[in-house]
This record gives sequence, C-alpha cells and structure tokens, in this order.
Amino acid sequence: MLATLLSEVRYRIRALFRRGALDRELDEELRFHLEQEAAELRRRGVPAPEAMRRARLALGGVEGIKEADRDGRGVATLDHLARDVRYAFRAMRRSPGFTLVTILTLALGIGANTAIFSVVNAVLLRPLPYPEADRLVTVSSVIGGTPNAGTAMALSYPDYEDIGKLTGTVAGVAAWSTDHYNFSNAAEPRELEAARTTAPLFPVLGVAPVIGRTFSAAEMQEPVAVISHDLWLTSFNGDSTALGRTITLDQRSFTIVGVMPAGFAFPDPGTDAWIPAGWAMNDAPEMAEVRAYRAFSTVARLAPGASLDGLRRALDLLGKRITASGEATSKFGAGESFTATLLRDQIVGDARQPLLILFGAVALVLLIACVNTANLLLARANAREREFAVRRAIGAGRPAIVRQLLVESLFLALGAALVGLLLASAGLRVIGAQLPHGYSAGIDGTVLGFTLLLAILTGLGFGIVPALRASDPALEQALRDGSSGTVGRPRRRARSILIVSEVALALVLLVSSALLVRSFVSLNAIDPGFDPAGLLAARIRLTPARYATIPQQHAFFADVVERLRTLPGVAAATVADGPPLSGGVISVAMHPREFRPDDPDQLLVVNETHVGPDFFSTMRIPIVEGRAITAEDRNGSKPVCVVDQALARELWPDQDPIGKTGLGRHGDETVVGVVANVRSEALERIGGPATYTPLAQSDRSIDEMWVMIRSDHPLRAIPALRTAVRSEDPGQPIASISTYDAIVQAQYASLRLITGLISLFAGLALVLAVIGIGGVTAYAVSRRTRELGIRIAMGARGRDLIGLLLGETVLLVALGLALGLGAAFGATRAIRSLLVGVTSTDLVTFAGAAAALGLVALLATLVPARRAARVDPVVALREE
Amino acid sequence: MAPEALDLPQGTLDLLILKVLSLGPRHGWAISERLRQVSQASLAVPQGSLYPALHRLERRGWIAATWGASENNRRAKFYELTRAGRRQLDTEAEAWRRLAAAVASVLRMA
Repeated sequence: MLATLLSEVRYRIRALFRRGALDRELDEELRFHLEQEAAELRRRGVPAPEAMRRARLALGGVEGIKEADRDGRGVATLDHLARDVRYAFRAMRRSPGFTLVTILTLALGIGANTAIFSVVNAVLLRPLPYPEADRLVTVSSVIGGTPNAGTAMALSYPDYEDIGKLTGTVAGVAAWSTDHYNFSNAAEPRELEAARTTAPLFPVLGVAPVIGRTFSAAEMQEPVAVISHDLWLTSFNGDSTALGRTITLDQRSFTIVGVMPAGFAFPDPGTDAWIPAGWAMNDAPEMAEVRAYRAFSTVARLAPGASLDGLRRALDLLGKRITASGEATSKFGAGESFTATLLRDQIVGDARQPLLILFGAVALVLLIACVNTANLLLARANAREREFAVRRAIGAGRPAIVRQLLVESLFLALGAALVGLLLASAGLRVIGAQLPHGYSAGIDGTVLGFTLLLAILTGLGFGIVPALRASDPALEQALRDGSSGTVGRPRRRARSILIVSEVALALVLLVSSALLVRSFVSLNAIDPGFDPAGLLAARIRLTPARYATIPQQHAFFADVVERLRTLPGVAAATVADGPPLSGGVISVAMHPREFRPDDPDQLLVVNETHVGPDFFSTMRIPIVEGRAITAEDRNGSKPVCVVDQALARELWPDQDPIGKTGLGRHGDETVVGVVANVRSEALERIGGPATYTPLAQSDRSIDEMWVMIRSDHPLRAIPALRTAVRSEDPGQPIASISTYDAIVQAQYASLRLITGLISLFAGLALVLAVIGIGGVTAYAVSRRTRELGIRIAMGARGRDLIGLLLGETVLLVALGLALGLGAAFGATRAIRSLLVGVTSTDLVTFAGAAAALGLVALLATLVPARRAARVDPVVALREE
Repeated sequence: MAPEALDLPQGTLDLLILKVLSLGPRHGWAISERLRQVSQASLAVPQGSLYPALHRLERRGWIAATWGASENNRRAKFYELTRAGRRQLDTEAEAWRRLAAAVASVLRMA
C-alpha cells in the first residue's frame, strides 16, 4: 500500500513539473509503435505506404490518445487550474485599462476594510497580555442613596477583604488605586503615576517581574516599589544594579525591589511604579476599617471551574449581607450591591460602538466597489461571447468556463488586495496617531489573513454572476442566430440593479456623514462660556512634603501667578483648582435646607471651584451681576462666593442672589456676584450649578491647581511659564501644559476622527457610484447607437433622445433613493449616541442628502446621454 | 469468416497487461502483438487505449519503465512487472476466476 502511494506521488510530481518530458516520451512511444506496426504489416506483404496507413488506422487518433494519457496522470485538476491562471494573466494583460480600473476600484474597498479591521483587531479583538485573561474580572460597587445612585463606584478596603473571602469563586483578588506623585530622581522633576496595590496584584494577573521580586502582604506599609520597564530604562539605564536603589516620590524614598517586563502597564499605559496599598491609606488609616471610604478598584481571577455568573451570585449574597448589617457604605447612607464584569470588556468599553460603525461603513464601500466590478465584468463577458461560445462548441464544459472566469476574478481581487494593503498601511499611519496611548494598529499576520479571506470572498462575490452568465448555454444560440446585440433583458436587469443598489448604499453613507458633520459643526459652534483662544493652562501638583501647610501652598501659587503676570506678552494670569473642561471639576453635594425648607432632604450637586483673583477676566467669563473675586478677598475678610446663573436660578428663582448668605462648606459665604454658565464638564452640556470661592479663603489643603495665562501666542509662552515655576521652586515639576484650544479640541477628538473617516468613505462611495452609473449608462447607450441613429435620421431632436435615455434612469435613481432613505432611517440609529444637535432622523438632512445624490446620479447619466444625442446618424447606421 | 473480436470488458485490460508482462519485460507494441497472438485475435484491444493504461499502471507502481534498445536497435520504452505488480496480478486474476466461475454457474442453471 505504501509503495503504491509513494509511486503515485512520485509520478504526479513528474507529471506536474516535467509535463513536457512526459509528452515527448509518449510521442516517441507512439512513433515507435507505428513503425513496428508498419514493419510487421510490410513483413506480411502489405506495400509500404498502405502499411503505414493501416498502422495509423489501427492505432487510432493520436490526439485522443495524448489527451486520454494526460487525463490519466492524476494531475488534471491542477493542470487545468494552472492553465486557467495563465489565461487569467493573459486576459489581464490584454485589457490593461480595464484591469487597472478594476484593481483600483477594488483596492479602495479592500484597503479601507483592511485598515479598519486592523484597528478593530488592535483594540477589540486582541486578547489581554495576561495568561488566561478571560478569567480576569473587575468588581465595582453600586451604592444606594447618593446623588449618583446607580452608577458603579470604587470599593472600600473592607469590601475588598470580603471579596477575598469568596474562595469558591475567586482564586485571588487585588485592590489598587492610582495617584500622581512628584518624581525627583532625575535632573528634571516630573510627575509620575503610581499604583498603590495589594500584594496579590501580580500573581492574579499572572505576570512575574523580569528582575527582582514583587512585594508581599507583610510589606503593606513598607517603602518598597516595583518599577516599570520604561522607568527602569530611562532612569536607571536598564542596569541590574537598580535593585536596592531608590525612587523618590513626593520626597519619600522607596526602595526598588523588582522591575516588571516590557509592555506591562496595569492599570494604565502610563503607570510607572507599584507601591504597597498602605501608602494609599497612610493619611487616613481608618480607610482600612471603614466601609464608607471608597477608593479602590479591584481585579480578580475566577477560581478554576467558577463562572462569571457564579461570582455574580456570590456577590449578590455579599451585598445583601452588607446592606442588612446597616453599616454605612457612604456618607449618605447604607446599602450596597456589587457588579462584576470581565476585565476585557471594561477596558474596551467605549471603543466598541464607534469601531463597529466604521466597520459597517467600509463594508458598504466595498459592496459598492463589488457591484461596480461585477458590472464591468458582465460588460466584458458580453464582448467575449464569441470566445466562450467557441470554447463550448469544442467541448469545454460549463464548469470549465466558470472555473476559468472565477480564476480571473480571484486574480483581480488578489491584485486589488495587494494594492489595498499598501493603501491601508499608509492610512493606518495617519489613523494610528489618533488611537489612544498603548494601542498600535499595523499589518500583522491576522490582518493579512483577513485581507486574503476578504479578497477571496470578494473575488467570488463579484465574479460568480458574470461567470454564470458568460457560460450560459443560451449564448451559443444567440451566436448562431447572428445577433450581435446584448442578450436583452438580463443586461437591462443587471444595469437596473446596479443603479438602484449603488444609489441606496451611497445614500446611507451620505446621510450618516451629513449628520456627523452637522454634529461636528454644532460642537464647534458651541460657546463654552469662556474664551479658550490664547489661553495656556498648566497643571501643577505640589509635593506634599515641601508644601505641608496651607499658607505655604497659597504663597506658592500667589508668587507664581505674580511672576507670570509680569512676563512680556502675558495679558493676564490666574489660578484655579478645577477650571472648565480640565477634568478637575470638583462636585460637592449640599443640602440646601435653608433655601428649600419644603424639600429638606433633596440634595443639590454643585461644582465648587477655588479661584485666584482675576479668574473671570483671564478666562473671559462674563460677569452678569455684582463683582468678581478680587485680591481683596483674603483670609480673614468676609467669606464670599460667586455663583453662576444656573445656581442662582435653582436657589433664588425670583430674587436677587447678591447678598444672599448660607452657601459654602461652613454655610457662611455671601454671594457677591453672578456669572454666565460655563460648560465645565463637557462641551455638549452646560455644567452643573457652580460656585466660585476665593482660593485665599479656602481652608482645605491643595491637591493640584491649574495656572492659566492669557497671551497672544500661548505656545511661545510655555518656556517662560516653566522658567517662572522653576525659579520659584526648582524641585517642583509641572504635571502637564496645554493650550486651552487643545483642551477644547480634545473634547471632540473622537467625533472628529469618526466624522472624518465616515465622510471619507461617503466620498469614496459617491465617486464609485458615479463611475458605476456613468459607465453602465455609457455602455448601454453605446449598444443602442444604431437605434439612436435611426431616430435622429427620422427627425428626433437631441433633447428627445436625452429625455428617452434619462427617463428610465430617473425611475431607477428614484427607487434607489427611496430604498436608501428607508435603510438610512434604520442605519443612523447606530450613530445616534455620537450626534450633537441633530436627531438621527433629521428630515432636513435626509432630504438634502437625497437631493444632492439624486442630482449627481442624474448628471452621471446625463453626460453619456448627451454624447449619444450628438451621434452622427450616418455613422450610426453604418455600424453593425 | 472469423467471429467478430470481442470488446474488452472494462478494467480487464490492466489484468491482461500485467499477465503479459509477468512473462518478461516488453515494450508497448510487443505487448499489443502478444495479446493479439495469444487471444488468437478474438480480443479487440484498441491499440490507442494501451498506452494510457500502461502509464496508469506505471503510476500505480505495478509496472516499471526503462528506456532501452529494441530488437532492431531503436529506442523503445520497456515495461516490466514489479513485485507489487506481481501481487496485484495474483489478486486480480483470482478475482477474475471467481467472477467467471460464478457467472458460469448461473448460466448453467436450467
């Protein structure tokens, strides 16, 4: 058996690669056979020429023998495939224009899909870099009774310990919270993000340090640290003697005990150090015992055999037990429940929807490209009718012709895929800059595999209909009848399908793009309530050890602002602890009992900002009534505050707020001014009611502040700002600096990206649709040249002809628009959450897009029609 | 007049070729001649189907081919039976005999 197999394989290899030799051998054998046969006949007395004739007769048709021999070699299919590939090559070379257009069209579609898939792969599909990452979950708690009731919140330390006791479902759990520290090892002090974590973090994630060790549960209060690979390289030159040396965080030294491998960045891409969780609680040791202090996030690994549902059930029981115990879970009350989600889902979260939207959009573009290509192929198949009919006549079966045409289609698709890959990698370089930190989208094995699969599906998709059509036996009949015309009805049907479907698909994309553009324009036009142009903002986090007292902290900022004010080019400078859109807005819940005696328990959430003098003038927030905070509002003078219109309306709807007292932490602030509302949290909505109080009158220790300067050239002021801070205190880092324009733009960065991409795809779809409709119309018109010539000769005017040609098209375009509108109504629901200022079914936008597309589609048919109308009847009639 | 030569039932050409070669290596024409002689021309072996059959058998490893010199010193391809081919011949011959016996006994029934 094995011997037979071996022999077969050897023979087939010879048959594949030494085809010529085998053919020649057979030739020689047959020649020898004929000679021997003739010789034998001559020996029996048959004269020479007659002998040869009879020998040939006896042998039979040589060609038939050769063909039978070739068929028996066991490589027939491969042989045919190889031949089909050769034909495909030749066919492509014979019509380079067609090949080029087709490949480019498809390359746009395939390339766009590849690029978006690469991003999807990088963000959504790539597994987390931890062993068995599907078993990692994160737990948050849901507190009742607060203004934020229902939203997932951080856990307290006792919560974390309770979860650790669920040994049936949880194999290990770790709690962590991150914070920023001023890192002063290096020459230039900078801000560093460190995670304060319990010891199980590293075993739960399953990652071991590359040198050294991680800390143990016994070291929760020790000044030890594990640092990131990046930090190791930049601050310690990747030296193994880094172990045992120290990093200085906020003036305190932590001994390095381990270094994590490259690429490990939990929980944030910028986390550079891990220190024991005790350091998160050393300012408030009661955090370890009191359930109401919430600061921790958790990550847990499911026990072997446990499921997420099992964990959720166990957490349910735990929540009920805590609620029943009556223990306070926040400063507002008791009651707690837990939610658990896969770590992977929590990380990916927001990105899923926009990516899927983009994926849908590029799929539509590819669909249009395929319809175009299918029609191009149909037209070409028409031109090759004769070739196929002849092939069928000499015995090629329908499958053979279909196979050949499919090979041609696959060739085109694969060629397009190559070009598409080039386009995609260029596009990815642009998109890549916009991706969140830590993700990189490139062309890797998975993406290549996807592209190959897509190319094959595309090739089969657009190739199957033309292949079936071209190999249709009815063609033979048509050929014999001598008609050179189109096989009438099927051609018209294909053209109609193309026009209707492409108009519909393009309309969906155009409507989506229009809605997004309108949203973008709305956002751009929103008045944020202050003037960001010319503003520069620097976030500074004071090292606690160096600025331990409040007077020291206030003095630092007062001095820095003073220095900045004197700089040339700086028109104004100020300081605040949570300026608009900075992400540092502090919300405070207050009971406005004094103002709402009839509703004493209702809570009001207010944004409270401590500001320095000149805040409103620097930010250019209009003062509506009263005055702003000035330098006169010092520690010791009357406590004052400024409210915004929203708060004034909330608390004193029909009264003058100026002079009202009772606000603030101590209930003793007097309102001295009212300012306009500011979009402090996000551009899309007006921020919650706000109060502004003088920084100098604050009795809270400062965590971090923003220093703002207004200048004609904010970017140029950056070095001067750094110098000012450095000369005030050389060891004090600036956490970040940005122009306010950049901060505002970052607000809608993702909307900008998506709008840009979808508009690009809509544009592509439009161009492809125009090419498709124009091409199909031109072709149809060219087929009717004779008929048109006759009509002109019989007196028809150009206008009548155009009317005739357009008439059919108008109906098709209208049908396509109707279908497209219907589809768009459904499709735009997917982008509803991204829209600002327009609904997803905005009739004006829909109508406008439909009108624009309809016009363009009609123009696309008009151009070839006009050319047809100018046909010279004599020329037309002479044509066959 | 000699009776009409019978057409070969399908599949038996292989068996006959193997048998002829079991008596010694031959080239293609010699095989065809021998078949004609031995069957006394009562088997119609279309000469054309001989060569595809030979190559098929060669592919399966039951016969092996070498180029050599014929009786009149011309280049010819000689085939000979391999060991596997000999085993195959025995198997197929036995099968044929059994088939023939079975058919005969059916035909004999009154």
